[in-house]
Amino acid sequence: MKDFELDIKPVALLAFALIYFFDESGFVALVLPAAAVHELGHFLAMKMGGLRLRCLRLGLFGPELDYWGSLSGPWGAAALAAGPLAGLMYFALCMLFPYEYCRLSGEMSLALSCFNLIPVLPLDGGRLAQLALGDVNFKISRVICFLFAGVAFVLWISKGWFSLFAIALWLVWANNKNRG
Amino acid sequence: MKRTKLIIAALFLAALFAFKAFFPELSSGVISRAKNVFNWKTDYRQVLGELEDGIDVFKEEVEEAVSAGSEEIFIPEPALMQVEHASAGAAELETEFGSSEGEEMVELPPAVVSFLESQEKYSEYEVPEKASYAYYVFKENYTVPVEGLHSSGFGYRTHPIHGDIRFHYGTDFAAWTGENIYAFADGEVSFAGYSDSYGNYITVEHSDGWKSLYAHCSILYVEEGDKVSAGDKIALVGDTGLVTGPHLHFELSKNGVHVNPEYYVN
Repeated sequence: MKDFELDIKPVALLAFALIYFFDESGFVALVLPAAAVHELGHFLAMKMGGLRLRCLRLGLFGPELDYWGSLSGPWGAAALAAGPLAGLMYFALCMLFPYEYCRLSGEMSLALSCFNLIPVLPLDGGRLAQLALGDVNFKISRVICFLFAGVAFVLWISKGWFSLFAIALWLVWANNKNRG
Repeated sequence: MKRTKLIIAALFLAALFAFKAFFPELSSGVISRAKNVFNWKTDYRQVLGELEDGIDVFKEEVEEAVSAGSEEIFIPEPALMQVEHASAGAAELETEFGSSEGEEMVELPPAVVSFLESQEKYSEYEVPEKASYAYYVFKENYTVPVEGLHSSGFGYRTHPIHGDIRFHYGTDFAAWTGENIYAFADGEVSFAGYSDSYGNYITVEHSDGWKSLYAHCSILYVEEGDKVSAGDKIALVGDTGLVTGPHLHFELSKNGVHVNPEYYVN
């Protein structure tokens, strides 16, 4: 595995430090293994498909795998789907054990995987849709993003779940940036 | 250049990690303060008003102490040292107004006078059965339960959540999550648990039918049956239960009748 690097953006470390500090419920410790498993799924599938990997980038909005070439064909689809699939397997595994930390981490992984399967760029689901359909209709994706943001907004006002709304806002922004 | 930025960021992460690991209570204090800044429900006028009042009260007390030359005037100090001052004051009152067996009603200390004046606007409301405006001398050593300014007092007031005029059976002390709560006086813990309105709370039974209650705590350090002494740390301030923000709700009762804690602690 030559030339594979770990690229950590300082901004990401700063943001992580703040999130860790202000995290009162301990969700950081639950999400980290789920995120790691997700990336590991992508990583292994890409390696098996012969894709040359460049680096693992820990950016402001999370980890990304950078590679030479492009994802196409069945192996490309497998590589994209492998992340959420690994997350779902982790969820299933976690639910087997009666420990609260285990269960909660599994549930976080379930949420992460399902979120990633939303068919909107830049999420895995969006890239899969792009692979399968040739192109993703930007207008439809935008509507999906705004709907998601609307639901998240209502949940924030009624139940106080601000983080879901924050994630929805990020999605609106990222989708807009990633039009094609 | 990028390497330097990375190292600085990593050091920052390590510092926050260590701070949170070694000072968990301080950390929750910082977190609750930050949350309060961004809380869109914060009534800044009230908060700043309280700060002004606190400063005025402090100035008055300092002036009085300076002019009277007396050491018995109450000036805010670390909680444990107040045990001496408070009991010295109580002893003085006892001798001045005659001493006692059993209950005695004495009504003159300035805290009592100002409280009665402030309640005059509610004079058409009757004092509820389980409460009393009378001043009973507390004969043992006692101490302030928390280091904080009192934000909402005993007696009639506009309820901060429900908005109507209700009787407040205790005194609220504004303090940050994680600050220490001390037992008012020697006694035995009669309850330590949770209720929806009081949140995590403790009741302590003292001698002579006195009872104290400490509500909305974040962490409780005692259990039913524990013996405590005045000044023992029994809990930490929190915002559990029906509250608008972190504070200690402190109640004092004599033989089941709620009395005004500010007569003893302010």
